[in-house]
Amino acid sequence: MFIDDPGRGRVAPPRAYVISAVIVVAAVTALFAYAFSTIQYGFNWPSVWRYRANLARGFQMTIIISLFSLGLSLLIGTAVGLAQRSRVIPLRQLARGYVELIRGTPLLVQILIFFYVVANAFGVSNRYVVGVLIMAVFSGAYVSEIVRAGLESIPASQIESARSLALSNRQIYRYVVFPQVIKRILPPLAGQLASLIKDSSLLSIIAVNEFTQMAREVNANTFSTLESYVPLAVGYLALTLPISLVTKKLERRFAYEH
Amino acid sequence: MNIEIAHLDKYFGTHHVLRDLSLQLDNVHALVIVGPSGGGKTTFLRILAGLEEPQRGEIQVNGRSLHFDDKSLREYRKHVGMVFQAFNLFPHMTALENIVLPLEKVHGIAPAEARDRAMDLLRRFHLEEHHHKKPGALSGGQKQRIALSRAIAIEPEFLILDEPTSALDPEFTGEVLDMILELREEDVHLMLVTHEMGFARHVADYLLFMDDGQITEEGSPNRVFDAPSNPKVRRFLDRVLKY
Repeated sequence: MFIDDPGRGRVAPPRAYVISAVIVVAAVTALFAYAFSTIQYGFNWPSVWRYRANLARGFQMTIIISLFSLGLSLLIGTAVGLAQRSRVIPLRQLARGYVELIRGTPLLVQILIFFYVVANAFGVSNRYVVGVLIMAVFSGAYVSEIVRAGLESIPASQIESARSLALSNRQIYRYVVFPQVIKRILPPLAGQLASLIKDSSLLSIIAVNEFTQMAREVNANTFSTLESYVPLAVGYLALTLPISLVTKKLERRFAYEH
Repeated sequence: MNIEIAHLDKYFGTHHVLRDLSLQLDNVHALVIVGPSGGGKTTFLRILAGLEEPQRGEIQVNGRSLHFDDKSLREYRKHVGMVFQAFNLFPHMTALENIVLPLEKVHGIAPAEARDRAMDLLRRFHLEEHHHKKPGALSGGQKQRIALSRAIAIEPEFLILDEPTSALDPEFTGEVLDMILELREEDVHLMLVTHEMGFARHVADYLLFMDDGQITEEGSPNRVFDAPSNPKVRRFLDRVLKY
């Protein structure tokens, strides 16, 4: 009953999905209920409830930082994605080096170095600005790979055809390449936003008052660890789950159109 | 159209695709190139379309010398209409937008006028009901006819067609050949590579047979088809015309 194998013409009835979902949720809940019961944790929700405004502020800050970083990382990612295909060798190497460096090192280390060394050297002292910059630089490397893959997915024949019509290079990108790339990379970009939201939690180590930092403060004040961090998980899920659904929808739409 | 080519050489890596090719044509209206695959036909056309740069050789088309820097090539391409085997329409644009884009952005025609010109063409070739459709919703034959419309909308000096029916299901070949023939009868000049031998003979006023990067036979289509002097050409024609 719970087997779905459209390839062999076997499709499960709709009620199978409902029953299965109930069983899965029950099983996972039971597992966690058992785990919590063994640690004999006395939940103290009222102590944390008093700090709800702080958590809400942190939640807002996380959204703001993520959106600004995403905007900036789109610019960086597009520039670097194009630079990786440039005819100029140093530009290509610079872009490649940036991507490998950022993707090959932990974000935690990047945040510390950027904050204590780079930002200091250039006299940027606002933690929020630094936070946005770090996340944008970090995410930009991933966005550039998305952009590069998008550019590479456009068949050479499209560019050829545009050239044969005497469009200039700039026009080819503007009217032929980018419109097609944007449609293709929207799903992975939405996924990148979700990653960005979660990854920004690491900014708490430089005391940016985002969602995770606020939860840490609440924990420090109340000693109610789980009561501080469970809402944190729920808050992040509330942001990432809708994005994930939108991503799936975009992917389906794209698959349908092609 | 007048074409003058002297000592053209083209390599892809170590592969010698065009070998010291020379050609002089005066007042040809429909140049058709036939021959076995891999003989250099497509490369030859692509060079004449300003899409490929030869390593050596001089080319003059209608009295203009071809220079292979970006700026002159772009200028040259404004006067050439190119049709590809795989249509190469822009999939994110409607049929109409595909035709209008070069008119507006390359030839500086006002949007309303560009649209009118494109719609006139679509009407003429019985495609007006498809003007708002994207290529994904069109048949191969319709796509190629729209690609042809896009190529002639710019009123080029001549059309270059690289195996325009090779990617089509047989049921759609006819409509595309009909359209090419109609253009030919209006005296749109064309250069065509094709494997449709009957059509080649019908449409051409000058025929080139290319093999192994060289022109092995040239002349009027009747002469080349009926009495080829080169035994290789005779064998090839015997094979493809057998059934």
